[in-house]
Amino acid sequence: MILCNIASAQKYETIDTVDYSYYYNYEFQEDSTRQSSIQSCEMILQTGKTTSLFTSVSYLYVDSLLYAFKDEPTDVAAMKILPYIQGIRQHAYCKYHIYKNFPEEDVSTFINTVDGKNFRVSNENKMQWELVQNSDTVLLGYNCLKAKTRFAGRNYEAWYSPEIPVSNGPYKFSGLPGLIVFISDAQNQHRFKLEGISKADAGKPIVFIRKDYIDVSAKEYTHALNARMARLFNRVQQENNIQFNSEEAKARALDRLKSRNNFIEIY
Amino acid sequence: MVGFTKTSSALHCLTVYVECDDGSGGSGLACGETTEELIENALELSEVICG
Repeated sequence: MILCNIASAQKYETIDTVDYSYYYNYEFQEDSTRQSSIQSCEMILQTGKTTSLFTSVSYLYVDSLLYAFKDEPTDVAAMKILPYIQGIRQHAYCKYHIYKNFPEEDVSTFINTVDGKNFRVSNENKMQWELVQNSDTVLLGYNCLKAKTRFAGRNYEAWYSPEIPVSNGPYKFSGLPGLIVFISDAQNQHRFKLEGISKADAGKPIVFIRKDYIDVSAKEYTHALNARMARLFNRVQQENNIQFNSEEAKARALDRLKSRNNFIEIY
Repeated sequence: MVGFTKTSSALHCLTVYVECDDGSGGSGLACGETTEELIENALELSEVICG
């Protein structure tokens, strides 16, 4: 009975409704030593009246399935969900939820589950931007201006558009007088590019899942993510409840896990 | 991805079979007490096996 209570100690809470959805292509170099190790994820920023959610499109899809089958017993729900998620590959660097202005104004909440632990990182939305004078370009049909900042160990250059009066952007970036249309770190290892804007999901709920979160710093979270990679590497190496259909496939998996050493935040 | 479920107290486990686009693949055990944990661990297997 106690186990059952722990297992269900989560609650879906509607905290806002979607106004616009902004789709970003996130490209990143997963191996800091190999420029060719580029991976990408389709990401989404959903803005509401007071808050916003940034996550991956595939993760949002999995969320919707979990929500749809939330009242079913675990074994029944899992068997119903599995057929819908065939083919989904969620890269660890794209798997998180970031809520801005939640639970209060000027605070962002980053949540993710790593190795069964529900982590929460809270940040104040206080990025120091340098607005670059006499810089302009057109991206996706919008007039954009340049700004610079330093965040979590990297220098960034952003292009934002005052024509889209939303002080928001991908990942934890916000605070400019217009939506961030493109942002890249100086080494071009992590970059987000706006691909489209949609009102198709307008009115749908922005959901926060209440759980027993462990509050950690961004540095502690990054360490947990790196520890997960090490655990997975050992699991594959020892073939602990995992089998590959060839030695070559196993070697490729080990190589991939070893190469995931370049998370967006550096501490 | 297909599998079967077996239950031991509150823990549910699935054997997950993964086929990658390049023809390789594999399988593994994904376990969890909640649907979310179970699906998360199934996706983790998919991430590890296919990248």
